[in-house]
This record gives sequence, C-alpha cells and structure tokens, in this order.
Amino acid sequence: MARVVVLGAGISGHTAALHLRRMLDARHEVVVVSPKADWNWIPSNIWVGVGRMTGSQVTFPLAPVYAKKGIDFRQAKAVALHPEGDGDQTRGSVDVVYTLATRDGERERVEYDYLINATGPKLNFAATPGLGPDGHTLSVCTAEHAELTADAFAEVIRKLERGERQTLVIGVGHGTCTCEGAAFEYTFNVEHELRMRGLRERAEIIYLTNEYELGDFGVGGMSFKQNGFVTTSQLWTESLFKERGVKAISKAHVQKVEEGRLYYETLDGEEGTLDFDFAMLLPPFRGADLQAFDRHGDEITSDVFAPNGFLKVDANYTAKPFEEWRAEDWPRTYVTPKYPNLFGVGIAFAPPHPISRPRKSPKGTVISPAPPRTGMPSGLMGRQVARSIADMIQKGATTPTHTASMAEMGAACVASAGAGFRRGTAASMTMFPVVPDYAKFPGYGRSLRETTGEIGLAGHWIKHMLHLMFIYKAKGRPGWFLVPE
Amino acid sequence: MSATQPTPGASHDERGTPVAKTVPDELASSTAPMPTKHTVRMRTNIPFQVVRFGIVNLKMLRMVLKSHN
Repeated sequence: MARVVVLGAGISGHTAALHLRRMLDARHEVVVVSPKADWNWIPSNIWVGVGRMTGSQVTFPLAPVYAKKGIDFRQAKAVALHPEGDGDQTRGSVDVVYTLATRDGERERVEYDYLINATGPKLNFAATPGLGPDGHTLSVCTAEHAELTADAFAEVIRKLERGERQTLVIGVGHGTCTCEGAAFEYTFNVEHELRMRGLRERAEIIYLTNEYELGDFGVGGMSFKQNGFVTTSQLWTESLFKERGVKAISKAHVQKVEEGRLYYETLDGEEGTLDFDFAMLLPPFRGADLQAFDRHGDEITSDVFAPNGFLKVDANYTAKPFEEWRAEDWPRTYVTPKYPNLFGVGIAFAPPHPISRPRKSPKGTVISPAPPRTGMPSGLMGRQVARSIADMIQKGATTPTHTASMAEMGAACVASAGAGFRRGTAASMTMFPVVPDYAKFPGYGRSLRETTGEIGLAGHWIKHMLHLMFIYKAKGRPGWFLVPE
Repeated sequence: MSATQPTPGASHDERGTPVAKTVPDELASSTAPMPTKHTVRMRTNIPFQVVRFGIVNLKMLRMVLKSHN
C-alpha cells in the first residue's frame, strides 16, 4: 500500500488528486492537504469582481467531492517538510496545521510515500507597503477578494451615476508580478460594464503594468500571422487600448500605496504618483511558507526551495544571461533532484528563469514579469505527474514516466474583454510552445501556425463554456476525465 | 480626485510630491492600427461569431491534443 499526499487543491493539485484516485486501486491512499475549504475556478473571478457573478458561482466545497471519490481531505496548511523522514522514521512526512474550524490550530504529522507540492502562490501583498485588501487596493485573486472588489466597483458606479468623475487604476502592484492577463481582463471588463451603462465618459481607466510593452503577458509577447503579415501581440493589444480609450503606464513598479494615491517608478528612471478612486492591483507571488528539514532535524529549506519559496525541480537553475536561456532549461518531470518521491507542480515549482527579458531600473529595481504557469499548463503538469506516480507505484517505474515541459506544450488562453451573451467579447489566443524555443522555431520562438489570436463574441462564449466545463470536471462528475486539462 | 503623473519640472502638491495634471497617454504615439467600424461590428455579429466559435474551438482542440501528446 502506498500513500500519495498532495499539498494544495488548486487547478494543479486537484487535477493530480482526481487522476491519482482514478488510476490507483483502493489499496493505495490519496490524501489532499489544503488550507481552503473550497475549490475556486480563478479565471472567472474577474466576473465576480465586476458583479457579473457571485462568489458561490466560482467556488464549491471540496469535502463532499473528496468524500465521494474516496480521497482523504485534511483542511490544513502544510508548514514543514521532512523529505528524509525524522530520526528513526525513514518515511518522508509533512507537518500540517489544521484550519478546519473544529480542529483549528491542531498540528499533525502526515507520512507519505510520494508527495506533490501544489501549494500555489502566497499572495505577497506585503512586498508593496499599502497593497491589498488590508491596505488601500483591491484584488481579484480569490473569490472573497473579488466580492469585496465588486462592492467597491458598485460604489464607483453609484458615484458616476451621480455625475462625479472617477479614476480607476487597474494592473499589477509590484515590478515582479505575474498574471498580467488577469489584470488585462479585469481592465476591459470594467471598461465594458461602464460603457454598457453609459457612464464611460466620466471614468478615467488607467492600466498600470510591469510589462515592458503591452501584450507581453509575462511570456515575452507573441507573434501572429494575420492577413498575410506577421504581427505582434503588442500591436494587437495597443489597438484594443486605443479603441476602448484605456490609458496605460507600462514598465512600472509600485513602490507604495496610500489612501487614494500610489507611488511608482519606471524602467526609464521616472518616479511619480497616481491618484485614484478605485485601484485593483494584483500582488506578486512567492512560494508557500514551507520549511524543510533533514532526518537529523537540521534545516535544509534553502536546498529544497528557491529563495522565492518555490520548490526546485528538474530544471537547470544555473544563472545565465537572457541570450543563453534555452528551452531545455525548463523542467520536464517536476521531480526534485534529490528526492525521487517529491514533486512540485503548478505555481509551486521554481521556474529556471523568467520568459520575458529581465530588466532593472536605474535604481536597480527589477521591473519585469515573472513567468505565468497557471491554467492549462498547470492542469497538465498535475495530470502528468499523477500518471508518473501511478506508474511508479503500480508498475515499479523508478523514474517519472511522463513529462509536461512548458517548452514542449502549448496553451489556450481566453482573455475576457467584457461579459454578455450578445455584447461580450474576449481575446482567444493559442500559443505553442509556452516557453519560446528559438532552436526549433527560429525568428519567433514559437510556431506561427499554432500561435493565433482573435477578438470577438465567440471568445466570450468559449470562456463561459470553459467556466462550466472545468467546474463540472473539478466536481468529478461522470466522464470528468474526458475534459482535457 | 484626478489622476496625476510626474513630468520633469512639474509642480509639487501639498505632500511635496512632483505631479502633473494628467496621465500622459503612452498610446498616443502608438502605431497600432484602429479597427474599422466594420471590424468592430463583426466582433459581435452573431452569425459570423457562430462560425468563429467553431473555428476557434477547433484551433484550441488541436492545441490541447498536441500538448497532451
């Protein structure tokens, strides 16, 4: 009998747990440890943030799903990792602290034969003084945050209806943020909602981003074939901003936020302020606060985790300049180099380097997007690692048998630009591969045939369809595994 | 309140911070093309978008299958 423990129940961890339970026979245990009681389809949080959906439409309780599937769910937060065991105990283990109301604060040691770290990001609002719902800005990172944001947005609408002018700043709250796509989506959903209500003229909407140019999205931008020419995601995105009258400040790092005012610097060395009535700024991410110890009790956190808290896996972490980055640097199996039974997937694994070119301001502040690893790549990693572990348990494989390199997989991304069955629009994009491979695709780094983009109502229908499909899949309803990641 | 951003030589506000009166529009000098009225209209034209729905889904399915393999 083997026990597989999955830390985290987001897109990657939940996918891995469901597949493991499907593939492993009942003799083997699948345990999920997650501090949150609910699963959240995060891509739809932007619709919660403008009041188009409620929090309950993008979440559901995990416990009944896991009970039905035969997965042992422990609502707890992992705090310490013992990959070599502890003392005479040679089996790996993880210390968890319960967040479940009836066992709140109780500490427990959970032993494992295989561990998947899918803890996702820690929302690092503390990186920027005054950032976040406990400070002076809003967020759509969780359903709860998005509901608070929707309340604040409703207040903005009431003020606009009274004839007041409002300034809305939407974007990222630090120079090293990722998920610019979500900020882009929220910007255009806000713009769409105000335009549909006839209030757009009284609102100034400003997109504040750490991207060097619009359309970078943390993947270094994209090139598309369009009408016989190769165009870029920069031109494509700028066109949308111009059409919708949204202003942009790019290459920016937010230094601090006060009530109604934020301070920023740019890659050009300028420093300044921006006054706002409403600000939704995404935080930078870091890894969950997990410590690691060897079997003698000595701390080995810095061996197992990168300085940003993400788990080191089978990537090439050698520091080298942008020109020397290679597709092969990216991990393929997500197993840690030292522990063959410890894996890191989704946002929890440490990327070898960014995808966008790194840049610093004259003051030395890093202002460039961190690489995104959410959505389709995240789900695919979870599934492939689950398949590898199933083969190791049931077929005696000694090394992982399945791969999911971001330099060998593509991604389909639908970025909403406004909701509505008849008036909504979204940018439907595909790219292959996610991490550019200039050896395989000289010039552009990606396949021009497989990298596409278009804006239209069809994209909105697809995003809504994906919302329904992925919640169906995550609930483990009949045939769930036929829905691809 | 109104949006402000500094420019060299700008005036200072009550907190001593350099400010300008308006946010400079970074996109004013952009060479990005504006869509024509026809293009914008077709983005929400239902019969046209039904066709695009099928085509985009096929493109995405091809991407998903390629990545899963």
